[in-house]
Amino acid sequence: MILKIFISFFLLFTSTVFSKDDISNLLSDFAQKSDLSKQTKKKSAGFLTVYTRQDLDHMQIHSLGEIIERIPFLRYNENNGGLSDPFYSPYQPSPVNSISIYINDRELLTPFNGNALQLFGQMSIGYIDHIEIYMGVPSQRLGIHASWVTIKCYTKDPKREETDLVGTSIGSYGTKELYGYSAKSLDNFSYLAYLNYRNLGRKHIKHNNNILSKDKDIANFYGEIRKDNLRVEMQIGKGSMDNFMGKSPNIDPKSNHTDFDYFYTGLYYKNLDAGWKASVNFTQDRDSIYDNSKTFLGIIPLPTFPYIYTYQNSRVKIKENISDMEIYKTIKTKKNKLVLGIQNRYKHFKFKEMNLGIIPVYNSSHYDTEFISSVLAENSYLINKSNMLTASLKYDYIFENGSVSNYKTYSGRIGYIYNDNKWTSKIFLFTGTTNPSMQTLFEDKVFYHQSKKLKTQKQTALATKLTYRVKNHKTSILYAHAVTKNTIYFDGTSYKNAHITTLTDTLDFSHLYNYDALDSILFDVWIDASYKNGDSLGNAPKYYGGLIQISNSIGKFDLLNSLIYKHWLGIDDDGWDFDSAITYHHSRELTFFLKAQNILGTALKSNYYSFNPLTMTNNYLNNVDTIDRKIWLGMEYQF
Amino acid sequence: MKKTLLLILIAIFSYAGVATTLKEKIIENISTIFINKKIIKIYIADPSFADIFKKNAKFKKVEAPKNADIILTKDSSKYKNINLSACIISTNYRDYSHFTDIDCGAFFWQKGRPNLILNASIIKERKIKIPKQYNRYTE
Repeated sequence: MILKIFISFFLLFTSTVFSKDDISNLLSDFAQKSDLSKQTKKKSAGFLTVYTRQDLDHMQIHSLGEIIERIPFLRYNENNGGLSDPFYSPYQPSPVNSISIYINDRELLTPFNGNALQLFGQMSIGYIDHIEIYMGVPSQRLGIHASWVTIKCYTKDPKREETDLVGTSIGSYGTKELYGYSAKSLDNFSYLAYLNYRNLGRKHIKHNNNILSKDKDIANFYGEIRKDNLRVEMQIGKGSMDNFMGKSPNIDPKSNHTDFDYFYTGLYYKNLDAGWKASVNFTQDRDSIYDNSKTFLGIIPLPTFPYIYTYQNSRVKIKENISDMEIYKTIKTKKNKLVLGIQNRYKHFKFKEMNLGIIPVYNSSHYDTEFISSVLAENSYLINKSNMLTASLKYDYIFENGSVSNYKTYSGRIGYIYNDNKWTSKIFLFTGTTNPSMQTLFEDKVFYHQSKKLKTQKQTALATKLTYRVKNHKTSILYAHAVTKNTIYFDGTSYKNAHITTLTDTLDFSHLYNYDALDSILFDVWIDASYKNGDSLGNAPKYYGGLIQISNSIGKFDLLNSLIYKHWLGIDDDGWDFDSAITYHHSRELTFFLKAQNILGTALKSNYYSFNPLTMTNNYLNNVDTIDRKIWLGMEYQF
Repeated sequence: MKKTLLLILIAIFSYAGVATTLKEKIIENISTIFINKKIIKIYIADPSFADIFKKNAKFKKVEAPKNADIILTKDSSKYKNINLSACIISTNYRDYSHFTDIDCGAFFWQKGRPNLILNASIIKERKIKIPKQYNRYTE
């Protein structure tokens, strides 16, 4: 029944083009052209996709995970702990520079686990105004950690909010959410205070009479004060999350969960007239991870009879600190813009407790700290009003403690941009090296007793995008070719550098038709192939997918329908994810929304396995929904 | 020369000019509902609107509120006790909600969206006939 209703809506609103009166069009057009992304986006940083405030409102996007699924070449995936991880592969390290996520200028990062998408992927982002996605080639200007996909989220501007608001929603599987924010401004002073409580119910998986849960219970505060050139930010998160299958070898977890406390504060200074930008910030994340299995969780070899100790549970308490300090100076001349920057990052983790059953484990390596010091320069030269050259260089020195070898990494990028009224063409060439993550270095030393130095991973990429705009149509084609050497992987005994060179080719075609100020149809198809050097591209296994998205505003209704198709290697059935969102603006004060995700229940699924060291076999858990078939119903009231 | 470079950069990489034009058009549309004159004199007290009506034959900026047909302000209290014939358009919702007895309408940002309100009681009082498309903005 629900399916029929949504398909009816889909057909109704995709086949009709609606016209609106002049003043409504003017207001909608003004909202789009004044979007804050016009001030924040860095077009020379790469190939950019922007989700404006209006887009996010139409789509009823409430968490970062919902955006990940819409990015070409990526899929939304979750790891064995039920946490968001698009690159999850059992027992393999996450690719170190695959994805970076920022909120304003802060990179969401934890020293041990890498990018903090795992923590933030299913948390509310109601304080976010718009999202910019840079992809194709890494850009050093976007942050310390240059990545292939950079997601930059920008917070709401209090001057454009001027409101006190409360909202609530309920959803399938017992989901409940309550939130509110206050955002005001007075002359050059403004503030934003956002508070959210989310009890996220997820579909429970039944496996061999065991219930696997990914439920989450999270409270989240974000605060921001802006005064003249200064901005102070603070975020506090606290929650408890069920660990899905955890590390259970027989996939029979019992009451496993993770409790976390997250704290962040940062001070940011920006003076565009003088060309200075500086920031300092600090993040602390405390996690308590409890894993428990009905049969057993793991084994420890013993020197005497019975030679192995099997344990049923483990508790790991980890404290992670990270601190960034960045300074940039921009020097502009007639046709030239030079940005010089110094970036420093301090990362530290400490296991407060690590008990495998009753046996405590200590960090015998004393490895717990990494300090990254980087210098960068980026130069943009305007040849004439249509042609621009850009080049950047970055050098990082990475100090590791605990007798772990230091690393030196570098990256360089050159680009050419052509832009006229109809055509935009960008081409970038990037080359750079990336060091192993702290988790990889720690595990290689402590768990696998390795003393070798892993090599840095080396990547070179050429990427180009051509865009043609005419009237309300925009057509783009993107092609990228990347070469990766020394890929770090886990071979079952320790981490290694791959001897083979991997080539990756990606192609994306998109067409956007804006038939009204806020009404659009987006069509996007892409294909991606990775293969060994020497193999032919034609025979390489391929990932591919597509998206069609229709966005409408009709009177007091905003509507969004999208269909995402994905073919993924290792997954038997292709994914078809049909989402729909309806927002009803009853009055300026009161808004209702209804959102349905994965309506057909056919979104791409995931396969998992767990290794049993006693039987030396894998236990499999296949066809798991990472995007639940779910309905949300909510309302917002502003005072 | 720096200005030339800046203008080129703006033309290529920004839509700021487009946004200003749209903002001007919206104010023009609201003003012509309340003021039926060939040349409309406007007093702009809100600095964030200083960039509009620099080249518009229908609108003339004036330096004093007493000479204006339209006043754009985020602080209507300044005009509360002055006997003005001008039509006040507030650019702040809180300000408008406190001065609905004197403000003709409001054009402001709230919840990340531009909003428009036309004051129904002033419209009734001044016996203004508003175009149908504005009905949904009248309250």
